[in-house]
Amino acid sequence: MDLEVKRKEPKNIQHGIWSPETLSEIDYKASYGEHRIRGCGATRYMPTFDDLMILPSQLSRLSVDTYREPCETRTVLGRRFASKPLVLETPVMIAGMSYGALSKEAKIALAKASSLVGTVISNGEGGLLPEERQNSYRQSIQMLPSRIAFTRRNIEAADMLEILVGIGAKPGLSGHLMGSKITEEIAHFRQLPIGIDLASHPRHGDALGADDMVVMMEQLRELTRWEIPIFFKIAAGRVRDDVKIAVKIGADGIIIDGAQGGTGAAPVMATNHLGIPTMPALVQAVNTLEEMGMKDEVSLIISGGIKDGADLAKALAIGADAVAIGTSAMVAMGCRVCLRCHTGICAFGIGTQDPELRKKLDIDEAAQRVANYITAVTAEAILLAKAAGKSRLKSLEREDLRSLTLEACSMTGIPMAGSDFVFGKRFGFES
Amino acid sequence: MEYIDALNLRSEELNRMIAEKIEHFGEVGILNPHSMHNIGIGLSRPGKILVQGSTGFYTGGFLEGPTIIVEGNTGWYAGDNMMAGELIIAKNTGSNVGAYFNGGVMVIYGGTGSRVGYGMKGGTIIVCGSAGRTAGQMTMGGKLILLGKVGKQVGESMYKGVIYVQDHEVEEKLGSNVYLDGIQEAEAAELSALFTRYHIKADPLNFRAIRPAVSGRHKYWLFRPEIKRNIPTAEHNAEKRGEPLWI
Amino acid sequence: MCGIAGVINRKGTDVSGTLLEMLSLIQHRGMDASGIAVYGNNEGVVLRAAINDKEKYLVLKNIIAQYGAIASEQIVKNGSQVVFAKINLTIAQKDIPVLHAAINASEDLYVHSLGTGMTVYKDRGKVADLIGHHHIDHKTATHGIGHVRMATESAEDVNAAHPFVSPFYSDLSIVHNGQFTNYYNLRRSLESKKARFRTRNDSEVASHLIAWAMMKNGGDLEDALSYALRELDGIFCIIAATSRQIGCVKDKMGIKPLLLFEQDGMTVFGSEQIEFTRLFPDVYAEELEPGEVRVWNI
Repeated sequence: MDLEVKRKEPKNIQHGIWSPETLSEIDYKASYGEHRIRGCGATRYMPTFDDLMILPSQLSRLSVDTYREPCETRTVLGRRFASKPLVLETPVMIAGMSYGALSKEAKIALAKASSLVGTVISNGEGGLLPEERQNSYRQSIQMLPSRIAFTRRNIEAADMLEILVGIGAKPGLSGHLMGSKITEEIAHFRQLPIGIDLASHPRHGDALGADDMVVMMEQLRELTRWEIPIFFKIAAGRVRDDVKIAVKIGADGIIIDGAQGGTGAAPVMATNHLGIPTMPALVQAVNTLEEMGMKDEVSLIISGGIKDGADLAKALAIGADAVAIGTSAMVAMGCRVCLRCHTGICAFGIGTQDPELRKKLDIDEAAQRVANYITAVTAEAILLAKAAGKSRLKSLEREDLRSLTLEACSMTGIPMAGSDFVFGKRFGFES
Repeated sequence: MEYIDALNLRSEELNRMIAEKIEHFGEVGILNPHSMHNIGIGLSRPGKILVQGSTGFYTGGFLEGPTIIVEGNTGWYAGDNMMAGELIIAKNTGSNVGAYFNGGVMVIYGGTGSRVGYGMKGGTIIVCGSAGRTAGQMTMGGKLILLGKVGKQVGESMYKGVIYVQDHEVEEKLGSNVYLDGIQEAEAAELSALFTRYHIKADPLNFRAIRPAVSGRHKYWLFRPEIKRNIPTAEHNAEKRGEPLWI
Repeated sequence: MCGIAGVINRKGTDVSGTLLEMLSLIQHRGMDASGIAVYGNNEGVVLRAAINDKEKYLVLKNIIAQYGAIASEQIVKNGSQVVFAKINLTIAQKDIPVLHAAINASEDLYVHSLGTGMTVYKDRGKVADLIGHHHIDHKTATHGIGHVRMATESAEDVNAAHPFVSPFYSDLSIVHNGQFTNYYNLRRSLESKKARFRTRNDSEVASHLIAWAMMKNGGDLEDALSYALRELDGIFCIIAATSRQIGCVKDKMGIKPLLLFEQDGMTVFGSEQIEFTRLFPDVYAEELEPGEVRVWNI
């Protein structure tokens, strides 16, 4: 009798962490001896606002008619010290994406979109494109450690200043723009040589530390005559400490960029392993401001993976005053998140400097698409707010939320749906 | 000359008063600056401001037009983000001066600290005394002229711009991504004119230029192991056996 | 984040007054707390302690009784629950660190300073509050250090203000400007050497670390500060003092300022030049080099 029976190995075996993605990354490192840099933000799973639900009104409270009764969306930002705070028609602003990472056409389209919906757009790292300022409803100017193409004229053109400390995609790192995207025009605009990979300045050379930043802030206030709001843009990390310091330095508001935030180019390890996700960062920022008694004075904007009106509504409910969209605005223009922004080969003419590829983006069509998207997102948030009985987006509160998962519950302190139980410190009143 | 006593003024008031005085009289003197911060920031009318004493941080920040002469010393960050005009400092300055300089001229007759001209984008900064470490880091334009001794890592990762140095030992102190070059006639003539204008005794022919490297640039290796030679490697072993490398 | 100051006086100027003036000139660097340490007075062994509640004062006295005797005592209040005691003691030199550790081990008691000819005053709020609540008057003093604090953690805790001291070497006090990025690792390592931390302020780790090194090397401040430079990570400027020495150290990246100026038999150090201007109107201070340690003998 033949005792040796040939065994057939199972067809499908689990691979755990040794997924095709892990193998690809290792191959890259083995080939080049370098860390990989790519566009966009973290694509790994993290708890998001999708893990929360909004409680609707039923018998215990009445809803607002979705279609026939109004809901206020006007938003005021930067009231703490600025004599001319920003007044926006919608709490959705367009986040800073640089001219350089994006094409000129994309920047102009985004600026036009801001004028169609009445919101503010931020210029990003690459300086202020004159066409952007000409077309934007309100303009936010970023002051980065690199100060690329930044002069006093930028401050004068600003309706709002963002002192940028870091972005969620790569907190603690500086800006990256790969050589393939530094064309002659960009090089001239940014005052850089053509062809190098830009790894920009790591720190603000004119304010090393929060103590010097206090005096720098006085300088900026004097220059802006205390008129325009000055925000800090901070990557979500040690949110509590950073928010406290920003408030002490004298900011009118804080933009917190969560780990899901995108960028034109960043080391993969940085996007996937630095910082904390948007949702818990927001809760922490709100808690910190309330501890300091500053919640009503200091404006809070959250960004990083905001994709629809539910995210907007839940962010507002937790305590944000506004959200900023980046990646989703690009998607509205046609981006498919192929994660290849760093190469500059963008088939949609968005994240490229190649003149042929840029022709693919129709500015007015793109502007309309982004405006449509923001309008729809705002409408979605209104719909949800009304269903919860609110006639103002601002009336959304944390007690309107429940968690679907353990992670979301313990990260935010928002009770578990159904049991109203909280793992950890409760965020809000028992409701 | 008109004078303002800064002893009990906040910088916002002082700067407003300075702007008024220059508008009417064209020049003004500041008494008792007592190392105050933000003196002369953002002033944009032409005129002359004579500060009789020493100042604090951000002196002449975002300056755009007048000439400020500080008869004493300044603190950190003097001339930050300057746009146009002149900032003349008779004695010494703190560190990080001339950060993000855009235009105009800053002359420091004494010495300066570390990181002068960080991210400089235009204009001219002249330091007659010594400069500290990492002078001219990541500049994107402009001219940095250093007459005295410089510290380590001068010109670190410059993108554009030029640094003129007199220090004979500068070779050992260069930052990465830059190289040492001779100066050209046109540059020497420019230096000559500047030295004459600001009464600086120096010979342009003693200077060399630090310029951004044009090839092999800005490649950063985060990890470079130092391998001792006597540890056997595949190459080493193959050599010993008289064999070609199998890799 | 903070502002620091130090002064060595060799000709009889009012050290504590000078320090307080220097700190008020950099008040904008931190308004949450302030403190000074003054050395060289001839008051003998003095304990300055903070007590959570005046009810617990008896606990303090009982601990003291185990090691020495109280010669005189003085209580100061700052308008909150906390009381500050200034107690002159008779005690053997060798028992001072033991007493320090014993008081430190008690939940409600905090040593602000315990040493010969050395006094620390620290409290929350601005320099004006410090002057208002505490009676600071030292006719003879040789040197001192001071600090104003911008806090993220525990701003309300008076014990989290600088200067910090440690039972490892009671005579030592330190002030710190900057941020240590390996605080938790060092804390664990020092706790395994029996250090007892009382706050969450990362500066406290520098006091235990340097004091431990001083204990090991027999009181060589320069060696201890060099050790601290190697062990601590982050950006920092530290001024440290004992009754016989005063020194400073700056981290290797050299980002935070530490200026120094000597004239007329006086040496002053601090974060900003403006601190020196009342004493020396026309001053150009020298900047300490990154990774530099400098120590003076008194």
